[in-house]
Amino acid sequence: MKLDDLKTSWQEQVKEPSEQENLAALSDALNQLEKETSKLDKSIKRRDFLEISIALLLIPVWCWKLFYSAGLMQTVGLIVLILACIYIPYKLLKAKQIKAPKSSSVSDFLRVEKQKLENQKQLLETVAWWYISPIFLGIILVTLGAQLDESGVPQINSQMWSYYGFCTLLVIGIYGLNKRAAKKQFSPMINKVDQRLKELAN
Amino acid sequence: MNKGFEQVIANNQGRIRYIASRYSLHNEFDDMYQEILMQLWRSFDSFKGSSSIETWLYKVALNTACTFVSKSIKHKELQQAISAVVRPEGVPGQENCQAVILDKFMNSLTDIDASILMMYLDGLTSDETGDVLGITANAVRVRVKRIKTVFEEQYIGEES
Repeated sequence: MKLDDLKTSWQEQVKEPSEQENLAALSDALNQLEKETSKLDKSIKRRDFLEISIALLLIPVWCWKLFYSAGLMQTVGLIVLILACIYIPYKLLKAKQIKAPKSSSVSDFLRVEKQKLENQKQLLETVAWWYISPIFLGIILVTLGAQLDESGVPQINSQMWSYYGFCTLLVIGIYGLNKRAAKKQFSPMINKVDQRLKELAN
Repeated sequence: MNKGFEQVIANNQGRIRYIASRYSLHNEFDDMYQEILMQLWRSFDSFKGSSSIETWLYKVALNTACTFVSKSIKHKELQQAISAVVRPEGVPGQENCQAVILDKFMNSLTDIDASILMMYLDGLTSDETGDVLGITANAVRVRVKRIKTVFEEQYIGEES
């Protein structure tokens, strides 16, 4: 048997028409789903907008606080927070900027998809440097800076120790979850796309 | 748009079904089929007719299938509508010997080679297949030849 012997059989099978009345119901269901998906897309965009807006709105608050800073330590902390509020939105927006595929071919589509996934994975893997560390450091410096004694040494009471302990645990938790998501969620997807790209190249 | 789209699905549901079946894991068929339909629906407006409908369909369906991640969100009405359109057999033509051989052979190929074979059997030219996959027509021809050789090695002498 030759491969071409199967052509007719294949073409007959894939060209079997569907019943028109069932297709009308399918079309309506797709229309409905499209509306729901658009709503979901809008809510995701709204959430991103909110996150970025909060970061940007905090900048004037930190700047205003700078005028009433209790000392050098708090000033440094506030500057760190201001820079974080500028850098975090920039980092989030930059990760979303993906060049459109040159064509709609599978290879171009896969390359763009790979870049998207790698950007997201990289965001999660480096979350400690661009998100957690600056905010954590800023908060520590601002709060410590507010509790200096006359000789300039921070006086930490038990309440503050508990607070720092809680913050540390929270930071470790966020870091762990992000690392896990990068490994479990994105790595297999990148491998899958890579595999397809390799198959195309062979 | 609805009527035009319905016609496209009516004429191509076998192809969509096969792609969904070939690329999905055991329990992902419904989700994959739904996702492919959704992407076809979304891009139908932008289909300008510069390529054949089959080329457009293969591009959208394969792009979706290649990067498919199963979602837990189910759309009940769409699932019901799909069930009414898709035959319970799932893959085309399990009822005849040639289809069984083809299905078995298709499953032994990589995803990309299986796509090339689908398009070859469907009568797409090497240029069209190359356009869908983003490789040269020559590369397509080389791979078709390789697939043919493997097929003939496995099934030489077998009667349909």
